Amino acid sequence: MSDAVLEVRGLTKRYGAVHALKGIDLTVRQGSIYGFIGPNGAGKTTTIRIVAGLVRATEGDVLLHGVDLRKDRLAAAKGLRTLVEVPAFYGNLSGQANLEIFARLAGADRADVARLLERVRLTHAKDRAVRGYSLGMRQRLGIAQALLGRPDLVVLDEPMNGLDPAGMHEMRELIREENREHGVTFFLSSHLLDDIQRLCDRIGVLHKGALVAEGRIEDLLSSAVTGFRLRCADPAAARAVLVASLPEAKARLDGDGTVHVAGDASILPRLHRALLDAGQPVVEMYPVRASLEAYFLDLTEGVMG
Amino acid sequence: MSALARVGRLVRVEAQKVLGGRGLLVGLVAVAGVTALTGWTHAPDSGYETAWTRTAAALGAGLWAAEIFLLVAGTTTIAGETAGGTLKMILPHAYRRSDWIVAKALVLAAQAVVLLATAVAVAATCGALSGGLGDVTRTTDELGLSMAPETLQAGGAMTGYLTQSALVSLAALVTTAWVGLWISCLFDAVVPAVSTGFLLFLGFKSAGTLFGAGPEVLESIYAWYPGAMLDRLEDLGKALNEAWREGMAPRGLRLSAIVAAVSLAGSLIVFTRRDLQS
Repeated sequence: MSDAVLEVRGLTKRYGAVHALKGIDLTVRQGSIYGFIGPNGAGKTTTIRIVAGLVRATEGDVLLHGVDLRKDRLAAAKGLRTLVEVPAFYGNLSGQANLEIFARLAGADRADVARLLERVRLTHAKDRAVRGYSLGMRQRLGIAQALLGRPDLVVLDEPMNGLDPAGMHEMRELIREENREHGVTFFLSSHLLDDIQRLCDRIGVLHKGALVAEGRIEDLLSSAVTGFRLRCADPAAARAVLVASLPEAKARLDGDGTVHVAGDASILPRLHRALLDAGQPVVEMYPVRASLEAYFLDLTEGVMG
Repeated sequence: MSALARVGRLVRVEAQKVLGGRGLLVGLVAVAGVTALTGWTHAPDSGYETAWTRTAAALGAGLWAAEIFLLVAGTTTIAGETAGGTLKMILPHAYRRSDWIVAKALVLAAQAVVLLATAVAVAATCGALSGGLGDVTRTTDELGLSMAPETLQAGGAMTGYLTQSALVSLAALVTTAWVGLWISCLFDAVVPAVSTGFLLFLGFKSAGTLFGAGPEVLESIYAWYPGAMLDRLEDLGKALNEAWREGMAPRGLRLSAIVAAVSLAGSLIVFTRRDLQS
């Protein structure tokens, strides 16, 4: 049996002549934290809106636990919770009353409301009307509503928006804890690549409506080698050899006594040959991998989200 | 979970939202206030005042207030949630969009019942305090001799006419709210939804004044019946030689039922098919 919580197959969305999504395929596995990144206008929120049932796909399927969302929404969306963009609440009602409304919708009990208010540190403000809440408090209340009733899959669109550094740290801890202790699967979209790298096991990179990369972060970054660090008996001599024979490698001496060369694995045969011919064999070699940010910028042509 | 259980749960959610806000309270105070004020200050144009004329006039005024409240409540019920962003928070849960429409329609209908009951209670109280809702009688003087009072309308019959008027008013109120609900499904913002609702409602309610519509046209508009029936009740209360038109109540109820059903169907079709971008 498949352990996929969310499967998106050939998801396409057109708004007239605008092709917002161009046949996206992705899979989110049970118990994982999946990061969904892309520049503004890439189609992240459209994808999330389709998963949330707010927008209908032009083509393609969204399956939750193998059940087609369009064919059997009641069964498919049972364990699904979402937070799309800025959380909104009934401003004239208190934080607790709002959560009670969402708890009723989710079939959760009142104890869950109290637990989550405590967990997102809003117990002190639970009786205040939400219209008086700051953006950060609303965001925390939004996360709390998304966790009501022990969901299987929580889809969060920019969950760190409006949070201060301490709030962001807390939010990361909350997501990790719910994932680790309660097995909740998360699907997060975020502009904060550092958060994505720290939290997620897998990512999907969306650009101009197409999924341009998907997989485990380590695997994606391991394929994104930007250069190598070499340890040789005489680093200065080795550098001189490489500058003369492989100028495109832009060899330089680093402070730790290694020689840094730029390029991918295709330069390695020529590099080894040049150094061996010069009597400077490589003792140790480490690949230099791109950061997620560099990888993202490379994939999206330098368009930051 | 069965459809009935889902709708029942959503009705409780909607009721919690309505009761948690101040909107319904404001509506109740407005309806009670307008009804009481009209009952208190009413001056009949014919110079002949009875408890029934006060009651009919007061209920007519209260009905206007209730119609306006329900028109606003109806036109904002989806558009308000779309504009406020709460629709995107509630819709992803495991319910059908049709469940939401049915629940919202039922809660609007319940508000109509509460508002009309308030208006009827206040109007009847005004009548009771100004001589009592008994027989409509007329006493004439002939040759300087006071004759025995003549009963023109029995109190029981007048109560029946009031009940018919109230029933037709309730049907019209529910229909107005559901027309508003349909309009609400068409817009992402409150102002265009409410404006459209008001323009349509004014067209329904004042077709005679605004467009010079004749009796045949007016009698084909559901919203015309409550006011017309209460006007007739007021005329009967003035001891005018009028007769109650028995066909008004069934026709008014039938028209309201048709428009309400079309509005509900329209709401279901529009809301279940549209994309929610806001």
